[in-house]
Amino acid sequence: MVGRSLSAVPDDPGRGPGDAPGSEDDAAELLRRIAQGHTEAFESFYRQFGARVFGLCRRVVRDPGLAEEVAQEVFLEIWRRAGYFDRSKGSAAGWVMSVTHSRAVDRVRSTQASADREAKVAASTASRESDTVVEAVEHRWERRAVRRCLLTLTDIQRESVTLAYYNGYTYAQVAHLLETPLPTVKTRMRDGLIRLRDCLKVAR
Amino acid sequence: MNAQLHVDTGARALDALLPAEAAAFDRHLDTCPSCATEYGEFTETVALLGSAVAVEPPPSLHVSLMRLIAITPQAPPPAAEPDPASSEPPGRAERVDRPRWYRRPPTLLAAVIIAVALIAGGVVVASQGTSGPPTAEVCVQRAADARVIAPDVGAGGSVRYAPSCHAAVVTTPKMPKLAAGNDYQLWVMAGDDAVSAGLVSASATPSSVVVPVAAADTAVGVSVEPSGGSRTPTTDPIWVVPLTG
Repeated sequence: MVGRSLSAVPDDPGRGPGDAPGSEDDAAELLRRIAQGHTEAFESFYRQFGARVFGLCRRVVRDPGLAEEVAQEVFLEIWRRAGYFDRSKGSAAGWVMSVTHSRAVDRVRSTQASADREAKVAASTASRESDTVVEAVEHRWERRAVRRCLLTLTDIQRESVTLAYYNGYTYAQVAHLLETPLPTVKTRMRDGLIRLRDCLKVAR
Repeated sequence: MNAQLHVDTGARALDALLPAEAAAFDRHLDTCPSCATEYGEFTETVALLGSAVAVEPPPSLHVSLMRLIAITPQAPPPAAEPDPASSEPPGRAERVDRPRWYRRPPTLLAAVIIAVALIAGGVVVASQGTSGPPTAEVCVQRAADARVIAPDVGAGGSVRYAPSCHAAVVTTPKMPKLAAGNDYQLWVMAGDDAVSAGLVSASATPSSVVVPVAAADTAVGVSVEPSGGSRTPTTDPIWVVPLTG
């Protein structure tokens, strides 16, 4: 597999995530140094990713206290396992956000009762929740691009992707919520991500 | 390409598959380069979905993390060379004299106690999976720099400490039963700071436990505390093993 990067700048030429303070190269280099036990590299890494990791935890698990706990687990895992990051398999941001999402999802699924309760209200609240929290300014580019690109998806593609990603639902739960057959939901998720990938110009 | 499994790339990148399906998909990735490529692109794509909801974290997260990484051992990297000297973190510097830790008023953050419970209950246990790196216990057993240290307060028991593993195996001596309402509590000390490493049962035979040890830590000790344990030691230790010197 070849290394990938987030290369494009949909509506703001000259400005993209790679240009923000703390570029992808920096992040991968920081992970290399964290693996060697450098605490100041960890601190720089935290400055780059703290808002992204916490924001995603917060979005998925909802409760701010619980989100802080999960974010703490994520960063401890990064500290412990930085040596396992392989830049030939993807970006540092991709790795960190993937660790974050799976930890957050594990947490919401471990409390099945509350997940069941939330499922009833999820469909109506899923798409507008990002407006209700204090957004981190340095990720304006991602926010704008993601909002714009999500609009290029069909309704069912968008709902399938956002219910799974932002609410932590399994495809079976999404199928139930959207009253859609199971295989169809998997296909919609994939089609939705293909559109998003192309719109966000995530390149190999 | 297995068409059914290829459709799963999207659901897998969204962590939306059931565990058994996710495992089957992950095995399939090894034999399907086009699936692996697509899955990689989707991973980068959903990372942007995550970045789009970035929120400033509370300052407490930064504070507790910096404290925690100082006491959290790192997993050896996949193809690690066993070189204890180079894997020591920088800044292994000021060592505070050991014996004053229990005389000081409590100053510990509650977060540290919670975090140590998290390490003891989560991280260390998690590292015992079959496919993961060696556990801290195995690391300490094998490490070239491990040494066995006897107590300088109390008698019996020992600590096997390996700086390269950022961990020690603490073997407490046999401990008499306590009066109701008291427990033995194990502490890892860094100078005047003591971090709980959990309760130790009264036992007629020695028992062992693995604790994370940071470069700045100076001693391991046991004190008698009110039932359930304390945030910081409230009595003089009955057993202390110095880690320094």
